[in-house]
Amino acid sequence: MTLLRRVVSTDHRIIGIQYLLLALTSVAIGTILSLLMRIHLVWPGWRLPLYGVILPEDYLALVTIHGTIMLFFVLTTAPQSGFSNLVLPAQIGSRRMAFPALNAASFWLTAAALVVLLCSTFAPGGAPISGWTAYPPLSAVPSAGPGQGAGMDFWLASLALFAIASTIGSINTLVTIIRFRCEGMTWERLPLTVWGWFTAALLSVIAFSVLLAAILLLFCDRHAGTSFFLPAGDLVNGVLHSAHGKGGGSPLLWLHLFWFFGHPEVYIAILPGLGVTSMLLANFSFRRVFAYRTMIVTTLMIGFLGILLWGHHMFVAGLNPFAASVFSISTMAIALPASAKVLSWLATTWRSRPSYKTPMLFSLGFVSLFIAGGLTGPILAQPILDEYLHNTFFVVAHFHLIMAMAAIFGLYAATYYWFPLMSGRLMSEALGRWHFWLTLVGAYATFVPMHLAGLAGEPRHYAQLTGVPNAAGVMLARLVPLNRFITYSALFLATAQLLFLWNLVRSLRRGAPASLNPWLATTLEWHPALNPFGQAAPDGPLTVHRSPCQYEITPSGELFLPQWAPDTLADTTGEATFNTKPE
Amino acid sequence: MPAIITPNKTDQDRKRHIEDHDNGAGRRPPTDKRTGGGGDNDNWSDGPSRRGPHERLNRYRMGIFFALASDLMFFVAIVSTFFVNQSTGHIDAYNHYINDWFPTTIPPILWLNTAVLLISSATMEFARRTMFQENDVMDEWLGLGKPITRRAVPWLSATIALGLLFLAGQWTAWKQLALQGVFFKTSQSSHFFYLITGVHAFHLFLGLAGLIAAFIGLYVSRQLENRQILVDCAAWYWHTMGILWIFLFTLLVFFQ
Amino acid sequence: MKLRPVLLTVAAFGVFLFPAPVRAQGCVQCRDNTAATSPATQRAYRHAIEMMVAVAGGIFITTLVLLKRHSPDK
Repeated sequence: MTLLRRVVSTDHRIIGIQYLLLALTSVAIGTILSLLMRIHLVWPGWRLPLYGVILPEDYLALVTIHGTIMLFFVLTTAPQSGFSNLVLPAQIGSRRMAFPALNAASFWLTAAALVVLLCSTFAPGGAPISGWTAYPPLSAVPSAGPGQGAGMDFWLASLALFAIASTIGSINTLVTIIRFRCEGMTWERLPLTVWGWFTAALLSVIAFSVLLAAILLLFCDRHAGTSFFLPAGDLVNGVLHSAHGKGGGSPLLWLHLFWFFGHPEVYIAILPGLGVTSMLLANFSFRRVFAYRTMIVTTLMIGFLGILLWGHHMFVAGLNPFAASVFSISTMAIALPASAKVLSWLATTWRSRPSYKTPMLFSLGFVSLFIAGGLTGPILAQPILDEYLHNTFFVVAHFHLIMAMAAIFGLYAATYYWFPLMSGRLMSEALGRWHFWLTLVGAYATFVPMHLAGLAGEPRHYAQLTGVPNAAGVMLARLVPLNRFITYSALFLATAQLLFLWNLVRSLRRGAPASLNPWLATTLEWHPALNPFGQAAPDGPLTVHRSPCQYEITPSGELFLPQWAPDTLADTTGEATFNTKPE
Repeated sequence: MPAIITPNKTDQDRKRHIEDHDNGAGRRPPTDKRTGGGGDNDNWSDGPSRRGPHERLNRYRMGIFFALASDLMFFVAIVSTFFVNQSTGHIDAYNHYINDWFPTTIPPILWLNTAVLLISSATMEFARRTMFQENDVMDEWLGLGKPITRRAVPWLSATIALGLLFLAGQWTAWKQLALQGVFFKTSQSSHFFYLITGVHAFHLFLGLAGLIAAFIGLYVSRQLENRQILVDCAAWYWHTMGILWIFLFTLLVFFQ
Repeated sequence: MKLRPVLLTVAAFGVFLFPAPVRAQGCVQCRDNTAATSPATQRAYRHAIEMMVAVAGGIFITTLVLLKRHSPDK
């Protein structure tokens, strides 16, 4: 019974760690799948041990499962559920979340969704092959491919579970933030991480139920003989599929519903990272966040615009060209808050003599990748350019840099930064630095050449580059050396992550014990009474006196004012506890 | 034998949820006292209802509202699909543009069902309001019988009965349509008729589960506030489903 | 000295007064596809898009208002 209670815990910190472990498992699986794809692409004859040659449909199944796992079970769970459970309540000065039981239910549903997704691999026909976007009519017709039968049903079930789990978890997050802020925690004092989680949770509540509706409709199309997404005269594999030969559905409708969810989903993945970066840069630069209010507004603007611009995924999918113009404008409008954020990060760190600890390095890496990946965003937002670049590796490079790599860097920064709250120990700085530089080099070496491959015209989702018999084949064959380089870089990048795993395992047992506030942080999760490794916690209510990241240079050295320090202490400069030089 | 008898260890470590206005001295009455605070975290007369007697109730209410907002998006997605599919035509073998949307005739029993659902919403509101009658709340908290439960149970039972009646009515409507040869897969508009009514019926099914949970809770739950929360949240859910049904029904009747 | 920001603001707004006319953008196939779509369908898509945006935006803003109303300011 106690074991059960320990496993099915309702304590938000334990749930947070459970989420992080789930994400770590998923990211390992997803990385291995991506390496298999890369290897197959340049050495098509390579035999996977215990399996054999990777067939084209296997390649497509790898694409689908890699995308689904990475996007949902890594980039959504780890930043939005993992770290938010771990530190969000403490950051707003609360000791608990609003609905602990729902929170636990959310985690277990997510875990179930992952299991169901992995089960699809073992379904007859294997995993689905229609990518993580599952465009109908091919996803609606079981005979469209080997994995489109039972595998597709597993995939749909998994995503339905995930949608429900995320909605439940987000309701918990939203109510916690709205109702459990402690005394004095005004809008301007709320850490930007919390703003990121808040906006992402809000987007989840809005978007995931639309995904659920779309899944329901697709499921009906597959099994109940309806034709919501099946056009008239839908011919798949030589068989006429639309119901009774009439079917007035439209695949474009799925694209609308899916991307209405899918685009906010992208911001759900990155918004927490934006918040973490803002706070960490300020913390390690010992400065205030530049233009704090603007940062709040831009976070909300990114969220709000995020629900208005899903159409830019459909520029060449039969969308009305006038609608394309509107979506193009709203897409480019999001460059505004994004650039404001970059500006604030640069201004925060500019000439600040920062302490280059590993979390700081990863935050700087985040900024670098965010700029590099973001610059291609407005290019793809032009319908006329997108017409050429759509479905090429240019798009793959764009979203891998800004969403995958930037978000992963945010996650690494958060892991190194909050590791003391999970284990009471610090992660190794030396290993962390190696890990950072190798990962940075690997990330750019992997994804920058992909832009070139895309510009040259290499399409996504192609299982082979050689042996295509026409002019396109010549073009693809010429790209093989470049692709080989990308594969080597990807292998290098993946190998570099072993350093992180080693660091993680080693530091759990033998890391240097962390002091109560090792980074001289100002936010509440480092409050001695909220730190799980602190002294016996007095359980009085907490009060917040100022906005986060207040560092002031005084004659007696660096003085930092945590959010919880009462005002009287602000005047006494010689106060022992607060007069600490950065290590 | 030590000279000083230390209290039980578990007693010392008792976990208090300050946010739930647990001052460590047992439960306090859930009515809104205006007299001021007594101990820590008790200053609920100072600010808006962030803390104090109704904190937990309001928190659960807010949770259910977010869930319903999310649900609203679910229905909006389905309704927007409805509008698009309704006006989508195609070009047939003879090169004619045709739109084969034939509205599904609404079984007249749906009007009756709508009335039943509206009445059930009213009975639910009575049940919800009885939970907050100040005198009864005070009596029940003091342990002078269970006046609230006594008054709320008839209304709650009536709501459950009417809800079941509504679901039975929907079932009848589907049977009637099936007798006319209109099934889920028959035509574009019948897809939507069955989908919308079906999904709504499923939501009502969940709502009934909530109502039954509230019913059981009235007898089983020992904390008055839990009982209030159960009934209150079930009521808001039920009302929303009622309003949603009005919209969906209007859609099916007038906008097909 | 204070004239410059004012002038700049006016100029910026002036630019907004003369936008490049919004033209249809997209692929040729999309244009053909749209041309082959009946106006009723196009209208339905537009209504669907507007409806989803309006409801989602409404929820977004309502939640922000909730957050503001439950402010723990003293």
